[in-house]
Amino acid sequence: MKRNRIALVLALALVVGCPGVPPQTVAYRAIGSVAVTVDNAMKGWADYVHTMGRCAPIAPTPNCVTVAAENSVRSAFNAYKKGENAAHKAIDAYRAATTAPTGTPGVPNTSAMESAIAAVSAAASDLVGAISQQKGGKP
Amino acid sequence: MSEAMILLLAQLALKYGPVVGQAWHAIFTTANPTPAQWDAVWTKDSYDAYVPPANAGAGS
Repeated sequence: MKRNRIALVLALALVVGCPGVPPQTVAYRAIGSVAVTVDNAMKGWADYVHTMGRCAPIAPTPNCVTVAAENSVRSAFNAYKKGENAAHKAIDAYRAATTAPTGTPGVPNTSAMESAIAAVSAAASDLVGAISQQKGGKP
Repeated sequence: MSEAMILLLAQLALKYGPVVGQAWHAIFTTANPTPAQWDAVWTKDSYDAYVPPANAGAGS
C-alpha cells in the first residue's frame, strides 16, 4: 500500500513537472488534477449526505450527517474555493501577459501563479482531510 | 500532497475509476489548453451546488 502511494506521488510529480513543458501547461495540469480530485471528493460527500441523511432535530437516525459535520466540510470547501479563485486570477494574469502583443506592458509572473497553485493544493488537501474525517474513514 | 489526499484518490479511483481516469487522462495529455478547456477546469461555485440544501426544490 505504501509502495503504491509513493508510486502515485512520483507519477504525479513526473507528469505535472516534466522538463520542457511550458509553465501554462504545468499550471493547467496541476490545477486540473486538484480540481478533479476536489470535484469527485465533493460528489462523494454529496452521495454520503444523501445516503446517510441529514440528522433530524427530533429522533435523528444513527450515522446521520450532523449540521456541524456539514459546516466543517462547507468551511473547508469555502477556503478551497477562495484559493481556487486566487489561482484563477493568477493564471489569467499569466495567460494575459504571455499572449499580449509584443510591446505591451505586462510580465508573466510564474512565481505568483505557482504560489497560488501551491496554496490551492494545500486547501484541497485540508478539504479532503475534512471529508475523510467526517465520513470516519468510510469510502 | 498529504496522505489523506492520496488515500481519498485511491478510494475515488476504486469508486469512480473510469470517470476520474478519463478526466485525469484528458488533463495530463493536454499540451496547450484552449480557452474552453481552461473554462472547464474549475470546480463548481459553491458547496450548495454539490450538496443541495435540505429545502431545495421544496416549491415556491
